[in-house]
Amino acid sequence: MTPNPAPQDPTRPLLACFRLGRDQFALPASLVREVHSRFEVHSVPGAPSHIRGLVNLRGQIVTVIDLAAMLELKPGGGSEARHLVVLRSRSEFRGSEPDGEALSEERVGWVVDRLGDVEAPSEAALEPAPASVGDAARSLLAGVWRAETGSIGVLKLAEVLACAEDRAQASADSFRSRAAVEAAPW
Amino acid sequence: MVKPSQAKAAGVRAAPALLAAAALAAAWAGLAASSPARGVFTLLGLALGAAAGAAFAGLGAGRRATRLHVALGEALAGRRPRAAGEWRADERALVEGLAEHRVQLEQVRARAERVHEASSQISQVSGPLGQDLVDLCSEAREVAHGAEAIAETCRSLDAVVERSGEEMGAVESSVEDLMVNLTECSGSSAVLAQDVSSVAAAIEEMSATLTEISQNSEGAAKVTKTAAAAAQRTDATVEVLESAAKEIGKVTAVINSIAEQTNLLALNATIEAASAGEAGRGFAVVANEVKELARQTAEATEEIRGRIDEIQASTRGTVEAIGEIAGVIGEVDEITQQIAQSVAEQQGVTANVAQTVVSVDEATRAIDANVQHSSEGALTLAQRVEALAKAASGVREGSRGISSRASQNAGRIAEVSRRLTDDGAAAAELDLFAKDAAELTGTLLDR
Repeated sequence: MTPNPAPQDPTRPLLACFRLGRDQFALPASLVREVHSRFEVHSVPGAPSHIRGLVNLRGQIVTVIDLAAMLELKPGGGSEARHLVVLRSRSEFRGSEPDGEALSEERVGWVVDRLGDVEAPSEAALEPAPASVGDAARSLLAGVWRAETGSIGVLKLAEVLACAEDRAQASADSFRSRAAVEAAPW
Repeated sequence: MVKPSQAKAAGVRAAPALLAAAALAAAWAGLAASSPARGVFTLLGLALGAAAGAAFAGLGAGRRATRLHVALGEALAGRRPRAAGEWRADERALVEGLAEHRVQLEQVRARAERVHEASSQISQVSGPLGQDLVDLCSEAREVAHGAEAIAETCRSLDAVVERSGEEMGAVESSVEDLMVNLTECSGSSAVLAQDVSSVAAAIEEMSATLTEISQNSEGAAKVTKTAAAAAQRTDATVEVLESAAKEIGKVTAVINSIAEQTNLLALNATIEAASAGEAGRGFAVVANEVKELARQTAEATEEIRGRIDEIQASTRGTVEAIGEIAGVIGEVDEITQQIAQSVAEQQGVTANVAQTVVSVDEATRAIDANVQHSSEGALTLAQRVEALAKAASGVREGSRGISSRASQNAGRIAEVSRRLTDDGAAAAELDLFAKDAAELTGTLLDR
């Protein structure tokens, strides 16, 4: 049995890891409500391309976001089983992280290719994102964790959600203008 | 060459000639004995002429002369002259003398008739006698020629016999060669007989081997059938195994899925425990252990799945191998059947060969027997050739004797022939003489 040091040190934040294609990312575990492997997504007409649809989770509606599409990542191993990472609503958040403020009241889930473990990296293993990846990419990452399984990008929830908001807005604008054109054919 | 039959015929033909010659000789003797008669005839003729002349001269006158003439005619006719008393003494003497002469003349006539008859007979005989002598002479020449021919023939015979002697020598050496060959042949046939018996033994052995092969191939056929049945059974078993492996694969998939769910539950438990802070610490430990178990289960099921994949690959390989084995068994079965068929054919052929060997054995024995017979025959032949050589030398001697004797005989016959030629001349002369005599006596008698 592999000893897991995470629970022994409550001061160190826990990271929930997952894969998007060949890349590994992580999110503070305090922001995650639960994870699922079996879910049925219902499409929503007129939704932006990064919105996969809606999932009924024990009577509660969860909006499912295709994280890879939203982050403009190249599609990796498509054969990987898809998992759903359900985020906490702001009212459910008990933690102290600043990202908690970014949580919405609506329940949101991210579709990832594969779930990893919940782990507690040491402070020394965390580094800031390199400047060479560009400002836009650097704004999405809180840092890079050099784990044993490879480099894991620790996402900055507020920026990711803001990005999602922008995309949703842009998509909605384009949808509205298209609808206006269709409504006034003259 | 004159055959004895011809010579005998010549003798037979010569016999009457000799008889005729004898008769001629007798007649000749008789004639010689009565040679004075010839003188008498002559004298008689002369006397008669003189008497007639005198009578004609004496009478002168017609009547008396006529009477005398009549009397003389009667006297000559054998009748007694009439009125003898009237005759003068001289006339009487004349008439009586004439009568006497007539009597004598009758006697002479009778003798001349006999001579004529004899000479006629002689003539009759002497003609053919001469011819016969000529014939005899020619036949004698022929006989002489024949004797010469015999001599020549004997010389030829001698040469032939000499040559045949040489040839007999050659035959003798040939017979010797033949005997040597026969001896060799006998030796060869003995070797052949031995070979044939070893062939027969080999064939018997071969036949036994073939029977054994036949039995073995029958056994092999049984074994291949059993193997084919076993392969089929194995195939069925392996199919069962494969389907069992598939079932196990399904079960492991279920287990794997359960492990994943368990892992998710553990993750969720960990997340829940983390949110609970200090209160959720114990729960977090349990969740971690559950997660670890889920991981181990996943590993174990993964391992099982690998094993099952291996088993399935093995069973697929096994199925293929069994298929190949079944094919090979089929081939073996086919080959075994072919072997059985070939062995059956071979057995037939071997039986034929065995029969042929028996025939050859018989033939060899027959050859042996024939060689034996031939040897005996050759021995007999050699003996006969020797005897024949002896006989030939005897023939040579005999033929030489015959040749010399034939030559002598030829000489003698030539001599006889010469003499016969002389005799022929004499006979011709006698013939002429007999003819003259007959003619003379005939003339005489006519008068």
